[in-house]
Amino acid sequence: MVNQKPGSEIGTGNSNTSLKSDFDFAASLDRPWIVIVWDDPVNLMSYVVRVFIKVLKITKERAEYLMLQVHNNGKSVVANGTREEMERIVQALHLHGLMATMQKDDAEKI
Amino acid sequence: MAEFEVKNLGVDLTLSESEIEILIDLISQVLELFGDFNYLHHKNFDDPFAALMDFDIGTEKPSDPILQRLMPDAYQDEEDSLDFRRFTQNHIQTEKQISLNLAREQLLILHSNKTNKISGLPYEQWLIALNDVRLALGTRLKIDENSYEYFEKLPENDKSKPLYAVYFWLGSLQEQLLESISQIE
Repeated sequence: MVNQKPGSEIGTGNSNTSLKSDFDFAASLDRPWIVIVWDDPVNLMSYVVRVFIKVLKITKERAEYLMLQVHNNGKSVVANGTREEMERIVQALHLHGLMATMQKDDAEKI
Repeated sequence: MAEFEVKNLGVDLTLSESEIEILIDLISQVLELFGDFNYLHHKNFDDPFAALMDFDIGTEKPSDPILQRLMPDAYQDEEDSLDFRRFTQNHIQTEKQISLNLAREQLLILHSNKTNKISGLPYEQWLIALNDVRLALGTRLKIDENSYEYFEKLPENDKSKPLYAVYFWLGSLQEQLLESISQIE
């Protein structure tokens, strides 16, 4: 993602945050599908934050945190739930031009 | 110069005549990729955008890299991705076409009326339309993290320089629109 606003900073990202750092293992057993958003060089950072707020129905702070995870780590798990719920989210993210995929969460295989 | 103005809980957009023409051209190119209409006059190689966007329309999974970018795979597994496309692609494509067509219609009205201001911009649709145009142009130009420096170093007479200039102009246009929206949301 890119920032075309000269001189603006949206907080500082923690590049050491792992993909699953804020992922609830117990909850994942009931919510076995995850949506991953992948970094891309075209979408603007401010645009991605707004899409996250709108599609994922999360706070601005949470949306900025997820956006920075995508930006710094190349990807981030942005949602988990049933297959049908996750397909609706991926569809909405694709409509807004984000690179999103979904998969069964493999945490339960550990 | 394009300018956004926040007014009465809405956003007004003022564009120059050449900006209107560029936007109409680019939006038409993306609509054409979706097979929206057959604009044969756009397949004119004097037009750098037409040459850039030159395409072939896929029947099931899109073969054009732009359409693949606008409607990417949802799963790593090919079969699952195709299933997902069967259920969603039509809807996603239609929604995108609605946004692009709306923006195009508004620009065409400005163009034919020789005016330059859209009041109460339907910004949800405009954001999607602008973003899709940027994704399309970005795919053709193979934009990456280093593209801005590359663009700055390109000699003035390089044929691709104006295309990069338009790409980065679209980015700042979208950034300004987002900034304006944030003042009223």
